[in-house]
Amino acid sequence: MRGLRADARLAWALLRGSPGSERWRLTLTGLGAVLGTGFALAATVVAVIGTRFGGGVPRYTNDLLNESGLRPGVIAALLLLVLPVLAFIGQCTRIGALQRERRLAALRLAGATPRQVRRISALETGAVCGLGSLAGLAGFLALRAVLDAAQGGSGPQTWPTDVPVPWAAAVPVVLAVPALATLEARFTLRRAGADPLGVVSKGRRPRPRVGRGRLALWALAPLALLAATGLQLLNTSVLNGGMAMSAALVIAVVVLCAVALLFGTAGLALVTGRLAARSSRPALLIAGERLQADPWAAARSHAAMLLTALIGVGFVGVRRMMIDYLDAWPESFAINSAFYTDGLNLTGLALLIGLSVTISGLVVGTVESVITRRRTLAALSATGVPRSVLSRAVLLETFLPLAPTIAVATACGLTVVGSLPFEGTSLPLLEPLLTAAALLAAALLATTASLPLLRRTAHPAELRYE
Amino acid sequence: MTTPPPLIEARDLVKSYGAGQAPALRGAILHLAPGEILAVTGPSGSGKSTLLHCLSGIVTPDSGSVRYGSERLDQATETRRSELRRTEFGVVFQFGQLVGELTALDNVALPLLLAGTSRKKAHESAGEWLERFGVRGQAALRPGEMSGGQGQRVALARAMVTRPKALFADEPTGALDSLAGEQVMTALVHAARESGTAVLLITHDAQVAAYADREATVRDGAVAGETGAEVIR
Amino acid sequence: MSTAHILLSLLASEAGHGYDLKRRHDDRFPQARPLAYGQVYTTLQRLTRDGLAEVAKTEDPEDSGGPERTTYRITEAGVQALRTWLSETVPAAPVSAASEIFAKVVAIMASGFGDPADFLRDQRAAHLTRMRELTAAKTAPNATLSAVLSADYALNHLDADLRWMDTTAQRLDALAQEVRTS
Ligand SMILES: Nc1ncnc2c1ncn2[C@@H]1O[C@H](COP(=O)(O)OP(=O)(O)OP(=O)(O)O)[C@@H](O)[C@H]1O
Ligand SMILES: [Mg+2]
Repeated sequence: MRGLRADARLAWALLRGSPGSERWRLTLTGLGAVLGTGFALAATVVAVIGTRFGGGVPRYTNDLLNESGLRPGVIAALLLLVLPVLAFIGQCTRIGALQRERRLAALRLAGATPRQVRRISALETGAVCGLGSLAGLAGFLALRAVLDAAQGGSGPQTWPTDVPVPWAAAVPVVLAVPALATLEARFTLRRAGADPLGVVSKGRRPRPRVGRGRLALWALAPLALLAATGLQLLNTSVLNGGMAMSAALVIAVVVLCAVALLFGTAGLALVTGRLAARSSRPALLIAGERLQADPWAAARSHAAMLLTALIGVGFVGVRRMMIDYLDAWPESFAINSAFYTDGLNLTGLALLIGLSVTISGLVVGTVESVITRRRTLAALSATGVPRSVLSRAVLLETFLPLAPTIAVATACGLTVVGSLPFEGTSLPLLEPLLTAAALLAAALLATTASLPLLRRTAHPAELRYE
Repeated sequence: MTTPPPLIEARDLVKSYGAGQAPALRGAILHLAPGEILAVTGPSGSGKSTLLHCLSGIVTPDSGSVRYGSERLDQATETRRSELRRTEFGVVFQFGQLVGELTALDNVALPLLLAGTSRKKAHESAGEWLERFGVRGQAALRPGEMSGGQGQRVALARAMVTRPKALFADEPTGALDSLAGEQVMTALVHAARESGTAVLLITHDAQVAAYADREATVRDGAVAGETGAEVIR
Repeated sequence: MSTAHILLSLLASEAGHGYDLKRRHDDRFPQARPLAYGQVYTTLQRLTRDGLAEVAKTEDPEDSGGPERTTYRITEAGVQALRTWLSETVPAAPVSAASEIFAKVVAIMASGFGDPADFLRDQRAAHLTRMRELTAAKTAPNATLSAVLSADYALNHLDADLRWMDTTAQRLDALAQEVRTS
């Protein structure tokens, strides 16, 4: 325990003396914690509606909050939003990884053990997330007060501000967010600080070799996809009818697709990288070789993106089919169809929020990779490599692995949607495809937004560093 | 005997990095003759690198002129200067200029690929240049897998692959021991003489400066003195 | 004493007459001042007198048509003396050029005749000129190993001089600045 206190003090000292890029990382990490806490707190409020902890009989303008059967879905959606936030925090941990590696190595040279070094870094993240979490709580309470004042006391309300804050759940949430982030940082940095000579051997790290074992892992991707398709066929043709059974199967298939896609991204990055590196166009060559050198980096920064694509495409497909179904059989529903469309639109909104967090993570990843390579970029620019070539290389590095992965994710999403039992409707293609294209475009646009940084980074002043 | 017109001529260069800071260059005058090897020496912080950056069009001076043939580098656009740097000039730094993910061969081929040469042809000439600098055997290695001296020779091969008119080298042997430095310098001088490339070489090391035909010493942002065979005192 | 030892080392590999020894010496030490024939002659006589070398044979001028030639070879005592000398380290004394430069800078400052900075600049030019020659000699395509090694030796000593001169120039600069500002 005494060790932990000393580590905490050291972490605080490091925090105070940290350079600009560190401040950025910590600010973004804190923002992530604010968002995550906000979503989780909203979920707790919804969870207590209609229970003995929360107000009377629920009467809101939105039926999603009124129907006790639908509230779990709302809670799940809110909690799911925490996932992209965690992915975002993970990306933030990577900002300035090189400098941190050096700092940790310096600590190691000064006699710290690897465990200590990793704990110090994790504590850093934890402290910032703790602050972010508290800020999230404050923001949540403030927002709640504002909404409460705005919607007055009488009649059905839009927001559940009549429910008292469920402190029994809120306190654990405020504690859990920094704890989760600390664990995540601890995991991300599991190999950091291993080498006390990181300082000396900077920039001379051998390129990670692609082992046979890893290739085997990538082969898992198409296998898993095949398995998914097979299960899906089984589901539609043989087991048609058993509602509970097919729901379980659909979930299993989605999870399988997600896992396959996560592994497959690295494989696709490697393959597209190899193809691109054959080109005689410098931008393609540079991007391709970078992808080959570390396909897992692409997988990491695109993981959240492709999950969003999978869920987004699936959602858009389901939405279209449900609306068609409602139009086709209007008399078979007791409640009016506006109830369903409202629910769908709210889910869409949640997805959009998730998407924006995901894309922020993508931008952070790009920024990180540009900052890490700034000396080389500046030197290339000094030797006359046009900035446009460097910009294209950065864009391609995102585009090359992302485009095929989103395509595969779209296919997976459509397969799942196609098997859902909506009679009288056909598999919608236009909207899911548009969604996929929009996702890709949004990712590229976000990457483009980080290019001004590249312009600043590829400046001769950067040649001075070290 | 008439001296040929200089390849690059800088007059009265002034350059400061932001208000309130002492200027890095204050009235520096320097020329680089075609095919000559010029060593620029001087104390740390005297403005050598800044001078090299101005002469090679990496930055523009606040005032003063840099002439390259009939062109004014100080007035040229960044696009034009960038084009010159990749076609007519070569640039080498102390370290960290090679693309970490590319092999030595691809690194050297890069300027040719930028000029639109086919990959096969680019690789052919890149291989020849690696051969000349004695690092053919390292063609398939990445910068992280080479020694500092090998890396510098690859960087030189990349700078020379376009047969530039001028080569700018900022402490190319700064991170090397004397024997590795000697190999790099010998390779540089031979290659430069063979292709008639003029070299501007910044160094702290008199033994490296001794490879040059002429030496210019920078003090406090100005060229304080020149020594060399053809300098009339 | 070193010339005698160097001649002894030449004799140790192969016997030879005076002119032969001078040529071999000059070949092996291209950067040193060429050995005067008279010096070779007196040194050989001294070595013979001390019993470190002896006359192997004398050629009659009538036979070869040239001047009389005496071939020398090393003695057992000579081998012993050579071994002893080779096993001793050289005193780490400053090379003579540097001590002279130092003496002149001090003299200039003491007398007030001229500016030490000017002197140092001229001296730097002279040093660099010599270093350029040495560098050219050692990087010449047909340079022998001993030529390269001896050029390295000379270059490193000149470099040491230069570094001292640079530091001195910077110190004098700083001193002048201090005087001006105070
Ligand atoms: N990008 C920059 N921003 C601010 N100041 C700079 C920048 N580049 C150079 N300077 C300043 O300009 C002066 C000259 O720098 P320069 O790098 O040209 O020196 P140098 O002679 O190359 O030194 P060294 O031998 O140490 O490399 C220094 O005082 C330096 O601090
Ligand atoms: Mg410099």
